[in-house]
Amino acid sequence: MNQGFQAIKAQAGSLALVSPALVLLGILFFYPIFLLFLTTLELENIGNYAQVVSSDTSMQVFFNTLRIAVIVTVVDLVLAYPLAVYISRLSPTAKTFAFFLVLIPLWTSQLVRTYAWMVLLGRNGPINNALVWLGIVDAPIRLANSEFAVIAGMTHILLPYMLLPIYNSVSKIDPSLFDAARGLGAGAFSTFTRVLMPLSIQGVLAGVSLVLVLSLGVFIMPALLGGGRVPVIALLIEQQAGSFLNWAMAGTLSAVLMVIVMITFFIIKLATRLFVRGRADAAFS
Amino acid sequence: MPDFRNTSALKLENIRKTFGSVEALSSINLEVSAGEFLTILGPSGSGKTTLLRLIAGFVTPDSGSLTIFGEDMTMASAGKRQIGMVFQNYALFPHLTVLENVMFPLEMRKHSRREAAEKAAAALAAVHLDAFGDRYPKQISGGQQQRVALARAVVFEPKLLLLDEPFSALDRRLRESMQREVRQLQASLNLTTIFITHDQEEALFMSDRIAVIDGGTIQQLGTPNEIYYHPRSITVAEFIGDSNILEGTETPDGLRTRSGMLLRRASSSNSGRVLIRPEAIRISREPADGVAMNQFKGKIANRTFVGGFTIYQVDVHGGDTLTVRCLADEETMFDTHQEVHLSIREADCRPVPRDAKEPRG
Repeated sequence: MNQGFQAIKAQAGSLALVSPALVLLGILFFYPIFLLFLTTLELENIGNYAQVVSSDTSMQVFFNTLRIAVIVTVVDLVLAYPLAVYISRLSPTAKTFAFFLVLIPLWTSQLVRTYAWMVLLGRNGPINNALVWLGIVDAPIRLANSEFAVIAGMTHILLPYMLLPIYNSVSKIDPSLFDAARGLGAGAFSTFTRVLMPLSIQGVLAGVSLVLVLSLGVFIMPALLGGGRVPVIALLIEQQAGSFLNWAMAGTLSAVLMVIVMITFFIIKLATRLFVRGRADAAFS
Repeated sequence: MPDFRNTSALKLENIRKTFGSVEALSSINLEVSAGEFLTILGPSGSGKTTLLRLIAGFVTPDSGSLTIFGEDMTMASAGKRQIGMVFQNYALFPHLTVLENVMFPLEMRKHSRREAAEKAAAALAAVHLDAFGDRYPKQISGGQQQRVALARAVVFEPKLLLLDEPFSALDRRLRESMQREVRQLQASLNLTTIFITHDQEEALFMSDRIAVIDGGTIQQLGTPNEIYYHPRSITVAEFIGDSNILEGTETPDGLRTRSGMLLRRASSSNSGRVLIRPEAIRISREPADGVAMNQFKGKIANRTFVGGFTIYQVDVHGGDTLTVRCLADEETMFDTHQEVHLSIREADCRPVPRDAKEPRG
């Protein structure tokens, strides 16, 4: 009885702590989204939604967006995992320097970084020059204004979002566990699958969900590096709202994107539960 | 039963290891017989951890060779060496249950899951943890975690068992029972064991032989008795047990200290240095009888009562101070400033050779 009361009191206390943030979010975030949702229903109830779902173009753009997001996520995962392990084994000074390098891109404007990629991948950019000089290609090839450019740029920009949660998990693992695994007969592969991965899976899934969700809504990169050749959903929304002034359709596409993001989150949440199997609570509490 | 004492389980020859400009180990030679319990004893920074990691295969030597049961393992990876190791912090896998932890080395050796589970359960039973297989390491006590680590280290029948200061995190009572248990398990499995510690009491209690290591070299290798009573250097004498070390000049009668005390010894020496263990000094109100005794008068400077025995600092006429340890006896306890008689058997005044590097004083 008394315990129950204490619990309620504690809950009320926590609620008081989050309420300013909740109010702010409610006014500035949930309310506008609700208004947006209302505009999508203006035209013949769910007509807008039917139009989006039945349109080959918009479904293709959704699919394309998802495909690019998955590629970027996988590439970032493959790049970030070993990097996180490497950084976690550096000396404190080297670690600080490594984090400095990782965080610089985060502090730099996305627009600046995108222009940097445009220069890098340009017809007379360093990469093309190097390729021609090495004789790999005869004439400069088109690197910018392509899906490759978009994926390269997004991979770069989103890498810290993958790296930081994985590093956070990896750095908490007691290094003697790796010695123990090796000493008990585990090779590099078994050490990875049986020790490193299970103990860092939460960080991995956090990184995957961050990068996946962020790359679903990315706008600047496809707009500037895609050269109109890489249709993604954010571009489509901008086109509907900015060029056609079709706010209802823009809102509808946004709502569908939001649903996709939520489904993605849900799947990752499910995966977390599956992989971690309640063990994390027992093992790390 | 074959005589395992004649089989060499581990042989280190001229092992050297440097980290940058620091020489961690210089010319280590050590041979451990099968079934032996050998302790590597040294203070922190002595090189004992490097030596252990080198035997385990986490570190490779700059030069020298390492042989396990006749097989050259100098460059072999840790997994190839078939060594069971108990880490200082146990290094249990937090995401695996107790049983899964013990199954791990068996699964790495391609045992079937069922066979691994059976063997692991048997190993857990040997350390009295059969009821804890389903728990996670964080759900059991430190002593229990230690037993799990031990079970995991022996379950795959390793050629050597390495123990890296496994008892340092346990409280005293638990430590003593674990020490006894480890010794029994080791003897029953006849498992060659190398034990690393900085705790000299633990070393004396557990070991068949002790290698005292300091400054990256083995200072002395011998049985606990040899190490305690016949230290070969001042470093060893001071590291093992408490000691009175007196310096002076050699005379035909014995060693004369600077303050004029004459210490007669059973055996002659010219080291100019005598070691007397605090418990070898008898303390009494009246002069004691006895032949081959050194007798001194002194005054109690300080008394420390530690339960089972009492430690006195006694100023001997002339200026030397001796530490005396005797069994506590409430009736005959001496008070500070009391005049007493000290007697030391000549055989208990042991010469200590000078360290090789030490300049002659």
